[in-house]
Amino acid sequence: MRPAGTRRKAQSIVRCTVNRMRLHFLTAPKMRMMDRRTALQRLGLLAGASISASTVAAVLGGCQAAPDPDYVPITVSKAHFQYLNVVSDIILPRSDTPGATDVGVPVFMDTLLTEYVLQNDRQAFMAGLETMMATFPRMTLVQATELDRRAFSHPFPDDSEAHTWRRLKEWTVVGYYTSSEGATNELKTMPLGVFKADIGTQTTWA
Amino acid sequence: MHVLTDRSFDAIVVGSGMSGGIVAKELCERGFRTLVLDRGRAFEHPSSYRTEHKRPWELPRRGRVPVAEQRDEQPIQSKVYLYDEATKHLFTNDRETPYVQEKPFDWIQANQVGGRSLMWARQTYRWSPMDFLANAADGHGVDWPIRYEDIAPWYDHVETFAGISGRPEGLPQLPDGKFLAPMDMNAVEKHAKKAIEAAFPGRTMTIGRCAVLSEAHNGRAACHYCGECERGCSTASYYSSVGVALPAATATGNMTLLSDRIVARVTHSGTRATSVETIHAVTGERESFSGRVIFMCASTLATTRILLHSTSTDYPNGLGNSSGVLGHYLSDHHMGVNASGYSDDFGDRYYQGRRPNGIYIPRFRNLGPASHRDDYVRGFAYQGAAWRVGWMRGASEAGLGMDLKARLRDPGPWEMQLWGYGECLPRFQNHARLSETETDAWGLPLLVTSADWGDNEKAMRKDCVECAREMMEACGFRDITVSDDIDTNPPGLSIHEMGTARMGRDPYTSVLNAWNQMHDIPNVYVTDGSCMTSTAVQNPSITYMALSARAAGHAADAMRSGRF
Repeated sequence: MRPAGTRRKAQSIVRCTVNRMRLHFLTAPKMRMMDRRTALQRLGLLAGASISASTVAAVLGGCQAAPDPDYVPITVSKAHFQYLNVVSDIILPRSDTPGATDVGVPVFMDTLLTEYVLQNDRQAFMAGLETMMATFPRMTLVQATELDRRAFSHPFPDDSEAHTWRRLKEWTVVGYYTSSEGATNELKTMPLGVFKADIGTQTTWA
Repeated sequence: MHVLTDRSFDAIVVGSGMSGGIVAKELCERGFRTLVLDRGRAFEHPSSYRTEHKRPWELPRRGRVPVAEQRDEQPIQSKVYLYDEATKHLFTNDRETPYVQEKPFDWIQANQVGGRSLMWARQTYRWSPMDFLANAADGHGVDWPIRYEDIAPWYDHVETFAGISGRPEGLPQLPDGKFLAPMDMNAVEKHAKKAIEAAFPGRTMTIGRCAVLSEAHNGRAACHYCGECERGCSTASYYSSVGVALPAATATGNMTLLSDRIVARVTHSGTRATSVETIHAVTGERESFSGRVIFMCASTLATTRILLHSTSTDYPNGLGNSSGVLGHYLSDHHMGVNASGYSDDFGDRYYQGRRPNGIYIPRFRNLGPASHRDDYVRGFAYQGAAWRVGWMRGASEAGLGMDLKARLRDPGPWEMQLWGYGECLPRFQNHARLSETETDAWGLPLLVTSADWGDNEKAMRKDCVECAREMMEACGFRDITVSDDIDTNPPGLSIHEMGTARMGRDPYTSVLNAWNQMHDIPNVYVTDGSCMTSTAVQNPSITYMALSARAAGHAADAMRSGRF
């Protein structure tokens, strides 16, 4: 399947996990062919296996270490980092499941700013962040909700604050739901081994 | 390091991907000592699948490749829809495999043994009798030297080997094959099928036919639906050369496989090719290997480049190029007509497992008087799929806090997309040639690509857009968008490039005969995409595989009878 242009457009906002949708003997004695059951057992993911999602995650990837409390940000300043902590927790707060900072979202953002984006995008992000910090030095849920509404009104406003907000929110959501804790506690781990094309609805698949 | 005591083989196969893997397997199983050369690095099933089943949090950047790295190392490869942190190593570094784009052309190249068969989209559709008659019927290109009946048993053969899941539909324009059980459609796809077929008699929507095992086959396990085929599959549940064909060839004990070998030239003596000259991609060492027959399976453009560079007094314009058409008629399917729509219905329906396959709407234009178009010839088809938008929607919509968390626990609305693919007419001016001035790190002349879409393709796209729109509307979807992104989809990006060493009946207008042999040098067979006389609209790999098996059988007979 080649989702081509449309997919790319979708990915301009969120790249990465959307890819899932992308549609997603031997005769040889020498061959190290792993059979399906072995592969799935190794994955701990035989369909119907009654193990909890978090156990699966632990078995699979090893538990992701909790974010280092002494993490020293690489690209953003300590003040910026503190602000990203506050804002990302407003976007995805702790509830009966971890919040954004619990799973290391601000660290993920610092990593992306350091390693992923180009310098001009980094500068644009930082400029918007500075503006945001000046306007909302102590961001509240009410202020964030207002900014969020404005940033995602159509067509998207083009000022640097709105631009930075959209990125910040995108990275928060992506960082959270692709983390071990976010994926396994908020979403449902896809059991492998069988395809059921039409079932009743339930929790969103990780 | 493999120590070669003998540099002489029955057969040399240049390239180990979609075509070369099949040739190697067919020749080895018939007892011929076969050397397979690939310019990519060594890559083995299953130990080389190093990102298989990695969870998002096990990828340091959660799937993202730094933008600067994309720009500097893989500006072309990064356009591929499946390029990400888990797959980038499977594609070439564009700096190391340069070419000259006289007109925009995205040349997608693999970086390992098995080639692009590792990352292909696995869609497998037979050509129909109509496709082999198309050139003769409307006068574009030369007539195919074969008909559907010539290749049909070979489709049977490679389908049986590879394992193809699909649903028989009895359509003349899309012949049924040797199918394993079809995969199922989800609730919205079933709805769309019903709506489209009711509103538009003559149009069919079927589940994708794909080289993924819906049931155990030939000792290989059924798919486990992880949905990440391109990272490699330990259970070999989809067909790839590296996971299926090459292991079968290895098992015979007749195959010698050498990675990191860049083929520079094929030499000949009179009307007989004699040897293949290689350069080691890492050490630069030059070697020469001789074979009774030589199969060119390096991929369309790589094969073309090697043949154009294999000049001699007899063939100053490239080996087997007395016709002068080698490098010409470069084609690709045109894509980038994309439709999307959403449904608020079926909110109580979902699915389990990541089906590595979608739906297919076979060509329905210019099949006969009833579907005849005055504005273009040939036709288009759609791939597509429906799914529920997942948690990712939270990144691009308003909403915060506990509400956002609660909302994303439920899957979002259904989205369905259709992606059009159209046939491309063979045109002489669309070509690849060697640069007269620029060379690569090994001193080999760079390939220059010069191809663009023609008027027929552009006219067809308008209809493709309208048909997609009316089908989405017939499904009752909301927020329908249909785009025609021709500028961001230059030739090459469909990764179905073909046609530069076409088959034909006349040695003056074609490079290959009905058995994929060079008219000029009969012990050279070309069975990758370069052999294709027209493009049809179907994904071409299964046809390359069938032609490869057929040609290998022919070469085996010729060797047995002492002709080579």
